[in-house]
Order: sequence, then structure tokens, then C-alpha cells
Amino acid sequence: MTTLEVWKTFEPDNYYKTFLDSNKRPDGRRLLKFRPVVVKVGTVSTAEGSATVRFGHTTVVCGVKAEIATPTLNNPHQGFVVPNVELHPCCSPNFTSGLPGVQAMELSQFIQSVLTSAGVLDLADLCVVPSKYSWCLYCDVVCINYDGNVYDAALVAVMAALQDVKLPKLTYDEENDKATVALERTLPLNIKSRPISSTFTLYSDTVQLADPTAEDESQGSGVTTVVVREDGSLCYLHKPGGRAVPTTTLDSLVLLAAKRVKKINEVIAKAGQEVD
Amino acid sequence: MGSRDSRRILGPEKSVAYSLLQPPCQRSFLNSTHTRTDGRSPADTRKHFLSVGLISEAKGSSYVEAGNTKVCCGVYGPRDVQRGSDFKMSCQVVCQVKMSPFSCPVRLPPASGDRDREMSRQLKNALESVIILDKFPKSEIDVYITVVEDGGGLLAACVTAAGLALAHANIDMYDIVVGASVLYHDKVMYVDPSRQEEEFEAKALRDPNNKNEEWGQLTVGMMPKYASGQVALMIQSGQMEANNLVEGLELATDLCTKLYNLVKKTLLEHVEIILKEEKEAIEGADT
Repeated sequence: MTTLEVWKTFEPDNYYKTFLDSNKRPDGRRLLKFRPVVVKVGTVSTAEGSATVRFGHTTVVCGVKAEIATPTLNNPHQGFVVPNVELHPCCSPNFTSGLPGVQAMELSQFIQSVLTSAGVLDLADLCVVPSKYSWCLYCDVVCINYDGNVYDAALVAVMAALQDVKLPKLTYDEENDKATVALERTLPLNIKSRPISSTFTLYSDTVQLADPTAEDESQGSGVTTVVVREDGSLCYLHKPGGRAVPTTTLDSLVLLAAKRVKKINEVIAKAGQEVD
Repeated sequence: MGSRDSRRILGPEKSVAYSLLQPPCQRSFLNSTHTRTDGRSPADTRKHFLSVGLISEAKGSSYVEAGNTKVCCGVYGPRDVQRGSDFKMSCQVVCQVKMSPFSCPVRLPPASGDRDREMSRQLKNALESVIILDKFPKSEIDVYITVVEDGGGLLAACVTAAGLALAHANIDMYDIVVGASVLYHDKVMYVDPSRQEEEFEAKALRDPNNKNEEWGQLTVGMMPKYASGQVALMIQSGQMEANNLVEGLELATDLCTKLYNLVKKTLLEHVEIILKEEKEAIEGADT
């Protein structure tokens, strides 16, 4: 064990604070700097659309599986989008096997709220025959390596996978009341907006950490997630309790998030082109 | 399913795979030029890719890709046995294989299925004969596997991934275990089958008119260098004659030896990188 590791083991708070005092984090980043993002689409051939996303060491895979369902009586003209995030004990020792924990539930809910509030998909587009046949898109996100900030990584993975989706054409024969699905997958989804989230860990009143690692998350005392659409409009802001933030700080975080949207969307678009 | 899962976001009550509405297409085991559907000869293996160290918090981790099959494995421990479980002087191995919902052509429900549990059990039994259990008394080693995609030969890939991750975690073993799978169809042995080939066999099993054709699959997990080759796991399904089984085992042994060399190379490369980094760190500290 080196002296540094001993220090980290015995005085983790002091060790961490010393880094912050010189405006750096243990991984060498400045406080408001994001980690490099790598996006690869079409990584799972069994899914209708898929993407693997890395934020530094954090790795998540999203696969979209399309199935056919009957629209509900309430909304006979709408299809379904069902996002779920799985945090298996494989990706970090903090998770247990069995039913999803609080964090996984929170992440699933977050993805669903963003998809709805940003209006990513028009559910009516997913309905093929009203009251009879509609698509149900299961967007399952699996975390491979947990090193903090699965919020942003999961959303980027879902967005990249949705943009990769190709559905087969469904034709409906009204006379025989029979539907057939083509063998070739040709139809892409109509993506209405492309929201990107930016997560910050709140360490103290003056110190916020962008794109936190697992260590940053454990040292901080609250998170704020800002979701901005590609036109610069704010569509979702998530601040579940924790340390209070002054409104001026929040404003600056929103500005930072807005700057990042274009860049990440370019990365996703580039990943999509590489496959075609 | 009796009770509805309250911890996940639920879709519609019922949804079906769209492949049910697709026109049925006749598939044959071999393609028109009498080679395998992916162009391989019966003795050809798929392309393999192995790497270690992709899970930062795990004691050891590995990623194995064989054709389209993609699995990652994380090893945690040895650690204290969780309270409430039976006291044992030897080490306990906990194995959990988890298939991602999107890993198969038809979506799997996110909760653990029968196949997950079956594979976890088989893998646990195999690893118990690989790890030197007496070295870790009163402790527990957790081996978790996430299946990203099932492209055939899944159990074999899981065994290889577990062996590599255990080696990366510095856990004492008799030898590194590697897995291989062989398919028997129409009197020919096919090494390292893909999912299409496995599915074809599964269909043949269900077809009651297809009584004459012999077919079967053999999955072997072995330690090639321990006492001139020891088998830790051997699972055969379908029907084969006994001498075919012997032939299949020989083919699987050959593939295991090949994979073993690849595993060794991956670990050596990993060690070289660590040594290089350490050297650079020392040089950096000196200057």
C-alpha cells in the first residue's frame, strides 16, 4: 500500500477535501469538468435498437425491444414506451441481487419522466391500428460498471438506442382481421426532441462537482440533475432533497447544462453515422 | 405471474413478440453451399475477444465475446459469510447469472428466470471444483455474470468469463477454467455453435415427427493444465451415441486448449500494462 492509499483508507474525508482545496478532484479533473463520453450504437444484435455508453469508467448498455400490444381503452390511439434501469450486483458491491433497489427505481422513474416531459416520442406514432395493434418499446438499461452518474449515462444510452431503432412494417388486413409483420426492419422512429441531462453533486454551498464519480457521489451531500432539450429549453430539473442550493448557483448550472447538450447530441449522431 | 412487480415500470398487461406475426420462413441447418450459416466449416470457431478489468469496484472482472455472445463477469470477495447462512470451514461460492432483458430475440422479463437460475447452479458447481476452497475458510466468493447478448454457447462463455475474472481477482485456483461447446447434428460435429444453430436443434427436439435424426449439444468446462486436463463441468443434452460423446469431448478439449492460450495471453498483456504503469510512476517520481 502506498502512503496515498493509506491516507485515503484512514481519512477519506480529509483526503478528498485536500484535492478540492486545490480545485482538483482525485481523478485529476477540475470541479466543473465532465468526463469523456464514448457512444457506440448497434452493439446488441438481438435488440431492435441498442447503444453502449461510457462516461469515464461508468458503462451502461441500453437495448430497445419492440413487442406488439393492444392499446388501452383509455388511450386507444397510443403505443407504449417502458423504460427500466437495472443495477445488478455485478456492477458495484453496493447493489444486492433480487428486486431493484431504491436507486434503480429512482433511475427508471427519472428516465420515464424525462421521456414524457421532453416529448421525445409521440405515442400516437407507435399505434398502428387503433384499439388493436400498437408497438410497445421496452427500453432496458443495464449497468455494466458503476462509477457514478448513471443518470446521465442512462439517458444518453436510451436516447442513442431510440435513434438506432428500426421497426419492421406492420400491415393490417381489415377483411380477414389479420396483421402481418414484414421480415425486414426498415422504419426508424420519429424522434421529436433530444434531451440531454447534466448531473452535479453538491459538496458545499460554493463547490459543485459536474459528472460525479462514485467517490464524488459518496462525498457529496445532494445531487441536481438538469435536463435540457437540443433547442436550449429546460425540460426537467431533478433535485431530490439534500443540501440547499442558492438560486443563482442553480442558474449557472442550467447554463452549463445547456452548453453541453449540443456536444453530446453530436457524439450520438456521429455514433449513428458510423453504423450506417 | 401472480403478483405484479411493483418496483419496475410496467408496460401493458400483455405484449407479444412481433416474430409471431411474421410469415414463417423455412430455415435449414446448412446454407445452400453446404457450409454453416455463418460461413464456417464444422471445425471452425467463432472470433473471440477477451479483456479484464472493466469493473472498477470489483476485485476481478472480465469481458468475453464469442461471436455475438457477450458476457461480463465481476468477482467480489473473499469476504465474510453473510449472517444467517450456515457456518462452513471451507469457502462458499455464490454464483449469479443474469440475462439482460434484451439479450435474446424474444424479450425476457427483467426478474430472474429459470434459465438464469439453472445456469447459476451449473456454474457454481463447476467453480466449486476449480477454486481451492480450503484456502478461504469461513468466507464467501461472489461471482456475478451479466449477459449482454446470447449469441450461442452461452454457458461456455460464462465459464470462460468466470475463470478469467477469478484469475484477475488473484483467487487461488487449481487451474484457470475455460468453457467450450460442441453441437452434434446429422452425424457431424460442429464446434462452437451459434444461436441460430442451437435454435434449430431446439426446434428439432420439439418436433414429434423428427424421431430419427440424432442431435445433441455438449458443453464442457475444463482445466487444461491441471493434471493433464480435468473436466469441471460437462453437460450434454439431446441424444448422441456414446462414441460420439467421446469424439465431442475431444473436440471440446481442443477448443478449450486454444481458449486457454488466449486467456493466458490476455492476462499476460494485463500484467505487462500494470508493470509499465508502475515503472512510469517510479520514473515520474524520480524526476
